[in-house]
Amino acid sequence: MASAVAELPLPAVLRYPLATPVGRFRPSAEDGARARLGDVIAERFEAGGGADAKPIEVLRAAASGRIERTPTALLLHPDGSAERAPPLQAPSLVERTLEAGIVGLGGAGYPTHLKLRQALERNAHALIVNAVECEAGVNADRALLNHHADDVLHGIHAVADALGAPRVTLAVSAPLPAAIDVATQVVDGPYPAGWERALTQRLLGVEAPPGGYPTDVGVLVLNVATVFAIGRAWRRGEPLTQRVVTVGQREFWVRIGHPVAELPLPPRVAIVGGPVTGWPADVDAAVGKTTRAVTPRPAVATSPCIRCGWCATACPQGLLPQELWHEIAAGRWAQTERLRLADCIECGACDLACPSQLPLLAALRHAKSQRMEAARRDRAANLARTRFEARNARLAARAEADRAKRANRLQAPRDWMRPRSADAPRSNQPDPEPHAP
Amino acid sequence: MIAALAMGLLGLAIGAALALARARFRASEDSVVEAVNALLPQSQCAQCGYPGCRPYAEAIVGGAALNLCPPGGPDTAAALAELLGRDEIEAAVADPVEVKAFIDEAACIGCALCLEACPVDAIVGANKFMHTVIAERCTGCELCVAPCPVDCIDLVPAQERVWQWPRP
Repeated sequence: MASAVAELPLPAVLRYPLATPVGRFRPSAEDGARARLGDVIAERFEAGGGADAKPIEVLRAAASGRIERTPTALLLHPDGSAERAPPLQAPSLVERTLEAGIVGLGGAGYPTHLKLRQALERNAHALIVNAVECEAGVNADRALLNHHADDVLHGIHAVADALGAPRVTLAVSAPLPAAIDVATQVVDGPYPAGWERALTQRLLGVEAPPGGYPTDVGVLVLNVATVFAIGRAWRRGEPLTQRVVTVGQREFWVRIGHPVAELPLPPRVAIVGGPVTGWPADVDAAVGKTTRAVTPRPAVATSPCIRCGWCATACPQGLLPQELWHEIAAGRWAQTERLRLADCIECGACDLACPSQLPLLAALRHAKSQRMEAARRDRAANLARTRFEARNARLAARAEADRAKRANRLQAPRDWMRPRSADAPRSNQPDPEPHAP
Repeated sequence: MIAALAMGLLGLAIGAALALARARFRASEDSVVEAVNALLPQSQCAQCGYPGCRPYAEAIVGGAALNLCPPGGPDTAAALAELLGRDEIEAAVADPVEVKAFIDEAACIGCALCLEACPVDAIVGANKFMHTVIAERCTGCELCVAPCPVDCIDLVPAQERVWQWPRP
């Protein structure tokens, strides 16, 4: 076994982009303020949540230093002090997971506390710790198991205790060198064998409903890095501020926010993520919570699509990537919906299969984000229209009421016009309606 | 002779059926306006020169240009052209910049003029009380900017676009 995972030196600046594939962060630290290691510096809210919404994810400073706010990112200039925020306090595991800023570190970035809550609500009977890491060349999960098995176990126990007594399975891609005190299963198979849906089906023989998740059938699948982070947060009160990343060929502890440009990589365009699911880094790319690897970019020469259909064979969701490719190129968005674009899990199996080396995954991601933006605009338009029509109705009703009131006043007999009877004393009551001016 | 008669009768019958269908299933003006209106961004900003989205939809059905909607941008113009089967859009439309109104609360005097101007009730406040914009409901229509006597309303870029993966 190699020596322990090395820690990368502190970079000159840590960068936290505010716009991420899972949503937008709202900075909670002021420009120029000082943050300690572990302080909350930004929060993410559910899309469309109101002003009083609670955050669904927090981002914590990975070092002590001065905060700089730019329109697109938070920058942290470390000052080298070892001061840290007080340890996490939340008494329940779900709250603690939110407090620690833990999300699905396998790549999805879904807030783990939401997943835990769903598993608790559905009385999940099984816990699968996913260390299959099926993308070639990525070994971050393996390094965690080799060098930090104790904290992984703490995390497993914390989640298992919260769930009651689930059946726990640790899924790995190759046998572990050292025994670990958990039922371990080796999962090999065609890419993407580590997809949680495939894993649930394979290990437990149950299938998540279409469009649903394993939690819907009582199975909680957590990535091993997520479980490790839960272990650290639960046992030591440590927030998530760093993770193991495969950089080129080696694994390192990297602080969240470490600029990709300052990683020990050959000076070439880097791919953020594994070789299959990663994307080309732009100049200010940084390691995020879900960055499992940063890989040098291989040179690829693409050719036109020959409609061989290999991508359709490879797609675990049974989509037709070649059809989608042509529809996306032509901008026929309605067709992409018919071809179930939204079901794409962005595994990149089509890219691996394509003999023309076409960037199918990149095209599908582009199209998905376009469709989501269009859906957001539709929602905004509907909301505006509803409110506009409600306002018009209200104004019309008010005008009508005013008119009716005025007409009534004109017709209602005034008090002094009524014949006065001798025995009835004159009323001291004011008129039911004040006189019109 | 028989052939000519048969074909003639057939032609007449089909023609009659088509004429009937046209009269019976004709898309009403209203439903076309509704379909056009559904494609407009509903900001009610009147930047097109019509008093709101629905009036513009009516004008479009009546033959108005498709490129008048700044918040909709080229996507809306293209969608309209496709829906109506019009080939050309009169002139290129600039990409929309999404904005939200923002009230400088220190400068607001509580005159309530902007409340009445807002077509979607996105401003809360009352006479002699500070006003504020509910960002989620603001469409960035700019209609509140002009009535403000102390010029305390700014339009700031909205940051609501979802993450966009670049075109490969």
